[in-house]
Amino acid sequence: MKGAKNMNVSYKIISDVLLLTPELDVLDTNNADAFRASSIGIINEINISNVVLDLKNLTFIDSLGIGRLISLLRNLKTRNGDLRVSSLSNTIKAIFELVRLNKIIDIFDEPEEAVRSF
Amino acid sequence: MFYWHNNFCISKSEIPTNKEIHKLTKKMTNHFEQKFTSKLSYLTEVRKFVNETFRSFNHTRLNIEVDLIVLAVNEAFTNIVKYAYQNQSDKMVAIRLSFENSTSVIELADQGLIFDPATVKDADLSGTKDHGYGVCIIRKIVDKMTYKEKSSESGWNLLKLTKKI
Repeated sequence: MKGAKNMNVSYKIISDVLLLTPELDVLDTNNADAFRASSIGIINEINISNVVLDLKNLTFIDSLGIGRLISLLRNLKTRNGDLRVSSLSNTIKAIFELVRLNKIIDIFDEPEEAVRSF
Repeated sequence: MFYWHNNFCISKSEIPTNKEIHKLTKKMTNHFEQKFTSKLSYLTEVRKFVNETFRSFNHTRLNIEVDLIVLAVNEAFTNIVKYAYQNQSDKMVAIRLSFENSTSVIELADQGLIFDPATVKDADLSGTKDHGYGVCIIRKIVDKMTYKEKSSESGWNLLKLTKKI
């Protein structure tokens, strides 16, 4: 396992899966593009396309944040990879369900569980 | 009688104690209004205003319900800045929250271009689009959304969101 930090996203590599942890409590119109750019930067650098996003710090996400998660998922799919998420608060889970994001991104309680699912 | 308390204009004669708040909201209408500059960087303040006001005057609400209402207002404010004001950052958005009996009303007023969210098609939720979720989110959260166009160039457009407790 190795790890590092890039802007507001820290990362670890566990069993050929990239675990990304945004150090953000809000993912909204003001930071969603920077978050996506940081994440894509790490993914390109590490060259791993199976990614777990641990959202344990997130308390709020808006429509642009949701859009950037979908964009990240689509980017990974084009590399034959996938995006899974873990540690959602009840509010974030409710927002995922509102826009049916839970139908296209698998949700896990713990990041380790999400890593093992690959 | 009107007075200012923490930047809010409260249309009641007295500030209630915390214990009285819930009882009072059942009996009378309470209005809270705050004006914001049309900048997306003010979204944090918009969310704080809605969050704190709802939690103070609506103890019966679940946390998630309040969080979703905050999200709906976040999306409405974002749309006004982007589409009504075309990202001009020197304009004004007024937000007014009213609580009456079992109904909460959120009104957002602007002097920008006419942008009626009701005319926006529902978003494609299949995961093929990475944008266009804002109005869809508002529709799913509130019970009713109405829009009144301004009657003159310098008038105010009014977006009204209604949510039953």
